[in-house]
Parts: sequence; C-alpha cells; structure tokens
Amino acid sequence: MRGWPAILGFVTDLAYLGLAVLAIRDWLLRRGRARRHLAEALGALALVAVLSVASGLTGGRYAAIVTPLVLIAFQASGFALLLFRGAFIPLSRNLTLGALALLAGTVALLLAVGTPSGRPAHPGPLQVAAAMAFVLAWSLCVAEPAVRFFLHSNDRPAVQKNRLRALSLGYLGLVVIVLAAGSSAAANSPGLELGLSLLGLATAPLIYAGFQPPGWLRRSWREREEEKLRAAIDELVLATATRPALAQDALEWAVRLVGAEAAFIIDGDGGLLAASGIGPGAAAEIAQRFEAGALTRQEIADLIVQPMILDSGRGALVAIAGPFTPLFGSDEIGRLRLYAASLSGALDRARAADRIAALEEVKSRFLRLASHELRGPLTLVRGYVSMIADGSLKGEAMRATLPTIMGRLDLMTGMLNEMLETARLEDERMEFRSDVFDLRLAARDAVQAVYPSLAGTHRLELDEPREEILVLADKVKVTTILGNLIDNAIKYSPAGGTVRCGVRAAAAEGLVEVRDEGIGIAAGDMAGLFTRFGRVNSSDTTTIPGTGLGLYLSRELARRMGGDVSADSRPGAGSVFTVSLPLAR
Amino acid sequence: MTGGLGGTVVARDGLAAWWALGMGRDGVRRDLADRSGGGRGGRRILFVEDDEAMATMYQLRLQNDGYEVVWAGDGEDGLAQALEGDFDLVLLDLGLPRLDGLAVLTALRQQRSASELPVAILSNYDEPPMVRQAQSLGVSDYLVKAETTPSRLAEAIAGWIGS
Repeated sequence: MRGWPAILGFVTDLAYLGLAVLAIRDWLLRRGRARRHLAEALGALALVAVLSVASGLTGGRYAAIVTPLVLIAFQASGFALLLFRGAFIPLSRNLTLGALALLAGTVALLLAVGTPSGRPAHPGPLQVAAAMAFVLAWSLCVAEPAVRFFLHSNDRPAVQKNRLRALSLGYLGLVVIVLAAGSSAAANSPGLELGLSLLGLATAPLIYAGFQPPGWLRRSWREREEEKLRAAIDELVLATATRPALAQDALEWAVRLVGAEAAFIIDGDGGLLAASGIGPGAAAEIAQRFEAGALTRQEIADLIVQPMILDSGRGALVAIAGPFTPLFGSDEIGRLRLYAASLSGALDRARAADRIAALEEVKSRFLRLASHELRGPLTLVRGYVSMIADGSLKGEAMRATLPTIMGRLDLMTGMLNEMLETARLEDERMEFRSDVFDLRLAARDAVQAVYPSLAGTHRLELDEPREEILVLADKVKVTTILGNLIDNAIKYSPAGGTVRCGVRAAAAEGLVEVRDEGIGIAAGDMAGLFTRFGRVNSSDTTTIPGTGLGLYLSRELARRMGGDVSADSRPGAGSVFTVSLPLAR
Repeated sequence: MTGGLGGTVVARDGLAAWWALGMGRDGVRRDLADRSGGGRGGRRILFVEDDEAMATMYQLRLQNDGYEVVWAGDGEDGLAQALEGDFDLVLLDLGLPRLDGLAVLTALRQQRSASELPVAILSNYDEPPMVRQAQSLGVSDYLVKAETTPSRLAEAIAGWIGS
C-alpha cells in the first residue's frame, strides 16, 4: 500500500490505538464486565494495528512470530465483542464455546496452510479457503452483536439509542472492510481501496461515540427528546391527578433525560415516593446505604443523587446507570439538577392539590351525610303534615303527633345551627363574650334543657359542689358545649343507663365531666373523634342521627375560650368527656 | 330523636295492637287502635325500620287501609321475622342497626322460601350504587322516604300487592 490509502491506514491504526487506550482507561476507572470486554475487543484490534505496522516497518523479518500473534489478536477482538454483547443480551454457554472453537479453528487452519499475505505471491485454493473461513468467522462474531445492538437500540432513551447505533455502525463498517479486503477486487481497484481506507478511518469515531460519547454529542442526541420532555413536564404538572402519579411519570422522563437504566425518588419524609426500572425494595436499600455512606466507589460512579428540597423535608432524585448508559458526566448531573428543581416545585404543588382534593372529598362527604341526616326528620314532619292536610289524621290522634313533629324540627334546627356555627368558627366571625359566671349554673342550664326530652330509659344526674366555681368564658357557649356532650352521652347509650354530669374545680380550671354507660369508642376511632365530620361509623352508630360536627365544634369553642374538651373511653364500658375552662381570678 | 330505643314492638295481634310509644325523647305517647281486619283480607306487611316514630307514622296510614303491619326495629330481627312470618310484603330501610338493609335483602334472596317475597326499599339513602345494588337483588321499588308521604306509600303498596 502506497500513497493516500497508506497514510489513511496509518491514521486509522493510530485512532484504534487511541480507542484502545481510552477503553482500557474507562475499564480501569469504572470496572464492570461489559467495559472489560469492550476494552479487550478494542485492545485486541489496536494490537493487530500495532503489530501490522511493526511488521511493515521491519520488512516482515519477524513474520514467523508476528503473523500468528496478529491472527490470534484479530480473532480475539471478535470474540471479545461477542462477550461484550453477552454482557447485555445473555449468550448461551454453548454458543460462546462454539464461537471460540470456530475462531481458534480458523486461526489454526490458516497457520497450518500458510497465510495468503505471506511470501507465496499467488496463494493456492486451500490458502484462499482458509483465509475466507478466518474472515467469515470473525465477521460472524462481530456482525451478530452489531445487528443485535442496532435492533435493541429502538425504544431506548435517545442517548442510549444513538450510542448503540454508533457502536453498531462502527463494527458493521469493520466487517465490510474486512470482507471487502479479503476479496480480490480490492487489490485491483485503487478507488475501492481508498474508499475502504476512508471507511476504516470513519469506524474509529463511530466506535468511540459508541462507548464514550462526548458531552456535546450526548447533548445533541438529547435535543429532540428534550423538546418532548418540556412538553411532557407541562402536561405532567397540569394534568397528573395525584402526587405519586406525578412522581412516577416524572421518573420515566428522568430516566430518558440522562439515559439511565433506573431511577427513584425519595420523598421529604425519607420514604420512597416512586421507582422506575428498579424494585421498591432495591431502591430503598440503595437509598439507605447511600445515607449510611456504605456504597462502594464503583456503585457511586453509577449513581447521580440529586437532592430535592420539598415542603416536607429533604428528598432526592436518584438516577442509576446501567450497561447501556454511556456515562454520567457533568452535563447529565446539571440537567438532572434543573429537572429535580422543577420537579420539586411540581411535587409540592401536587401536595397542595392533593390536600385540596382531600378537602373537597371531605366536604362532599359532609354534604351527603348532612343532607341524609336532614332528610330523616324532614320525612316525618312532611308525612304527618300531609296526613293532617288530607284529613286522615285529626282530633286527638293529630294532637298526639305534634310533640313528635316539634322534636324533629328541633333536631333539624340543631343540625343547621351546628353547621352555621362551624362555618362561623372557620370564618373567624364568631364573637365570644367574657363572662365571669358560676360553672354550676351553666351545667344546671344544660341539664335542664335536655331533661324534658329525656326518655324513660335514661337517667340524668348532676353532681355539683357546694361552693361556686367561677370561670371566665362565654356562658351561652359553655352551655351549648355541655348540652352537646349530654346529648351525645344519651345518643350513644342506646340501651339506656345513667348519664352523670359532674362539676368540680381543679388547680387553675373549672371542670365538667359527662360520663355515660354507653357503647364507648374504639381506640382506633379516638384520633378522628374531634375532627370535623369525624363521626365514628359502625353498625351501632349508623342509625344515630347527627352531623358529626358536635364534638369538633365543642372542642373548638372551648379552646377559643382558653379551655379544652378531652375524651376517655372504652368500647362497651362508656365514655367520659371532660370540659375544662379557665377559673376567673 | 328516636323513641323506644333498643326495643322491638310487634303488632301481631290483629284485633287490638296497641302502640305504646312513650319512650321517645320526642315525648310521643299515643294509643292507637289497630284497625286491621278491615277490607284488605288480612294482608300482612313487615316494616323493617329503626326509627320507631317513622314506623309509627307509616303504620297509622297502612293500618287505616286495613293492612296488618308488623314492625321490626333492626336488621337481624327483620330478617328473622321475614323468614318466619307469612308476609305479603316487606318494607325495608337500609341504614339499620346490627344488620343493614342490603344484607337483609341479600340473605332473604338466598333463602328458597323468601326468594320471591316482595320487598320494597324505603330509605333516605339514595346513592346510585346502593339503588343499583338493591335493584339487582330484586325489589318491587326503591322509595326515598323524604319524598314518600304515607298516602303515597299506601298507593304504591296497593299497586304492588293489590288492594
């Protein structure tokens, strides 16, 4: 070879040497099976190039040693590429051994019959056949992974896809060169020879881009995907229903963005919010080991951990590199940082949206409950009035229904008042008077208000000390609270029994205890007891009317007067509700 | 407020069933003579309803029309009576203590003897899923109490089981 092809060939040899150095360096730094095989494949190719150049410079004097070495290194490069492919797409043991046997066999055959490039200028048919077998075996070992990589590149994130395609095209180029160089046509056509030399030179950057694409290249690969990403993020933030769904969708994009294999999000409270491409258990383990500083250097090299400042605390977006991931460079880290920042905002907004949605749900549940509760008494009033109107109820029988009608109207009024008071309380429009009054009197008022409607099945007792207990509060509201509690005590003692209302003074507060012998409250229901609409629902209570606002309202009223309402209960053994109010000094 | 909490009053006696409803906090106390045995040929209705005052109101009208009405105050009692007694119709509330109305209906439909028993829902719950579930179990009708005056109920019953 003389002239341009020779110079191009020399540059190509140098390029492959450079590739090998980079691949070996990458392997030494980051380790891993795939990187090792790629380093082997490129290293062996570089060895072929170096030995060929050396052989040319020495005028073929050491051909007896160099030729077998070149042949072995060449087939080794093919075998290493096959192993590289096996690192991603598992290769059966038999196939691996078969390929090894084929490659070794063709080397042995070629050595046995003598190389066509050796001294005899006109190779015999046996030598040509052996050389063709040699080239075909290598081409098979290389073309198969190259085609595989190309096929596998579809559906991968842009960076991974382009990387695999570059690697694939680079190796396919090599196959073309080797096959063409083996044919006699190349030797007779200077044009074809030049073309092959150019192709050879082109394969080097392709392969380089395949295993270590530079930042600018990765950026350009990503560009089109990023436009889609931006649109997707807008869509995500606007349309995703819930926070976990948002996090999950966002992760899929984070994976594409940096060409990662997997990713997960740790929430502000330290829990796993979402994981993609990795099981929740494995993700949690990585997070835990990262926190504990227990990850190895290699493991850390395969991670980007991007902290996220969320309303609920410090979380993190973690991306994990896989075999197809080129590398995580500063570009990926910067990109992920920006992404994590906008994601944090979106997640916090989603939390607010979730809260509002939950509130809306509570509100509509309340509206359903309240309208159902109001329907009960309304049915009775309407029914009796219709009977009076159509004349089917008159005289003594009609008069007998009036207390029932009045009772139901009172019940409805009470429910509506509770709703109005709750609304007022939340609007901060409720006004409190500061009365100094005797707590015993408020308790008496409350008991007396309930007494007339007391069923024969219930007893109501008031237990008060001789001395007055002067408290500072709004007397009307205190009477309302006590009335609520006594009402509840009766409502939730469906089997009857005694309700005891005890008034006493403690160190700095006046106390009223309302104790019943009713159905009680399960421990699990205590937490929600004083919340809005926090009605305990069980088969025992579904038929007890009420808005679920009474206890919430009672406690809120007491608290705004400097006091409190607390509860103690055992299921089946009754409940004690205690109101405390500040003593007047 | 409901009265007579926890008790079950059964007006089985066709001649003189007395409704002694003095237990309620409403203070209802009425003595109402049962007028069944009139023109309805002793048609028997089981009224499963936990609110006694509500049951009383509808019963006043139905007994006036000559039906014999038996009241059950909770789901378990209602189911037991429906299986034992010989009824022409069951009026079933849904929100019931001990066993809710849909469970009573499901149990009735699983019993051979009661699989064809006419049942009408009379409830203030009208959430579509509940209505659908009740209808899928086979009911004569689904009435919302707040929209059903005693005379409308009487008309409907006459339509289902004849007068």
